[in-house]
Amino acid sequence: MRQFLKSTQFKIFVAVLLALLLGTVLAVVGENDTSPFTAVVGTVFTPMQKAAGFLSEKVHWFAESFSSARYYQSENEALKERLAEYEDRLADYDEIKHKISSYEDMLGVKETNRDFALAPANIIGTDTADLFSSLIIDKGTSDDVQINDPVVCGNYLVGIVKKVNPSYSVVQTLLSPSLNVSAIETKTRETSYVTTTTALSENGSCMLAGLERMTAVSPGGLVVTSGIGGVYPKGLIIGSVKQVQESEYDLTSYAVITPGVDITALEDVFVITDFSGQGIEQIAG
Amino acid sequence: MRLTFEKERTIKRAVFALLVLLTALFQHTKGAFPTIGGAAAWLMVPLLSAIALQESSVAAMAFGVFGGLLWDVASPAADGYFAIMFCILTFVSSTLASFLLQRNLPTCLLVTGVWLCLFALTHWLFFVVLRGYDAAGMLLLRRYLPSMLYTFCLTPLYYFLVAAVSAPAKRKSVRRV
Repeated sequence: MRQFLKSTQFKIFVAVLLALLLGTVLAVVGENDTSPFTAVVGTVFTPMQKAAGFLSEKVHWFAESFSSARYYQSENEALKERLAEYEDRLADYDEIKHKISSYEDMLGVKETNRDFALAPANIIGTDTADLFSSLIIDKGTSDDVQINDPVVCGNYLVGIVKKVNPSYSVVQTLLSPSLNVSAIETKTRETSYVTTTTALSENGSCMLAGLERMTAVSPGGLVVTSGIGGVYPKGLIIGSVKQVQESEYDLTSYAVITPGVDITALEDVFVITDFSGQGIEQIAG
Repeated sequence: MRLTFEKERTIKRAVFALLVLLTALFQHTKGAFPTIGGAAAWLMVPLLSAIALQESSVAAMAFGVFGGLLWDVASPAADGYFAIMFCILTFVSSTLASFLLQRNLPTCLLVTGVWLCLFALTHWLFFVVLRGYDAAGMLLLRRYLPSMLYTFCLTPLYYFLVAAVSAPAKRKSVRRV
């Protein structure tokens, strides 16, 4: 044993382990949450992953084109059923359109977006060991992306940049319990924060936590970012209230929110690299 | 054309490096490798355990660090976690294989099983329990366990692949002895 501990192999092992630990420490104290080793490997690896993502998409399309006639027949029947369903839904279309229009007016989204500096990004991968739908995007510090930049799809909030490298970034989504977003419910103007639990995350939901027990927030209400804290711009849509429940642990209630976009099905997003008020803490009220 | 042992070994290691790279691409590219009931395969684990059984401890560790860094690239978890984890696992497994273990499929299954347990439990401990998330036990059963089982089932595939790549260099090494 003593001989093994004195061997060159063991010394190399200890040296590599210490170097990796040093890299991790540098990542923790650094600005970008990335170790120098990962930055180097990531810069080489990301273009390959981008190409792999493109190929994967094409292969899926190619495989689908070989489906049998029987498959098309059953698909045709399914489509007919869906068409009938959509005809029913069309009746509600005007009403929904009106609602969306009023939401847009109410939020002033178009006005707010003028100060946004946006970087379009493709989603090139995920981490299979991560339980909360984190995303890898193909934009990094070379595109002015910085840690804590908000990530959106249209006017919907997707998450925040958690880790950034020159050519790629890792995004923590609304489905991560680590994420807290200061938010406001538009109908009642109640201000609180959006987060999630592991159980809600499993169902693709998050929650507006810390509401008063007798809250006026009700199903159907729209939850948007409040802009407090200067991390997220004001008025980004987080989602709509599905139900309101009383907390088991304290005297508060929480509203279960269905995110406005299906985060697991996204293909591309925008990173807001700059907006008016970024980094400036605002006082609620 | 007859290749020397050193050349065979170089080719073998180049193929291993390529396998690690391709596995990382498969693992992290959306839709590239199928998930079963939401359970994703951690392909890097059986690959690196199979390589650790075939390589010298320092070379195995190098592949472990490389594979770990590629995983760190994709992960929102603390940077360096996967590299450190695989550095230790590959070095220890390869050293054990040099002195105690036989290099065959049952050993590879055993080593991968132990790796998966250690890997899942430490990941769960560091990134779920210590962060104070609710329903940690549920996550272990419903998310980690299916992925562990799915990954474990892929071990023979990687074992035979790595063994096939190692075979020419191994034959030369036996002849030299």
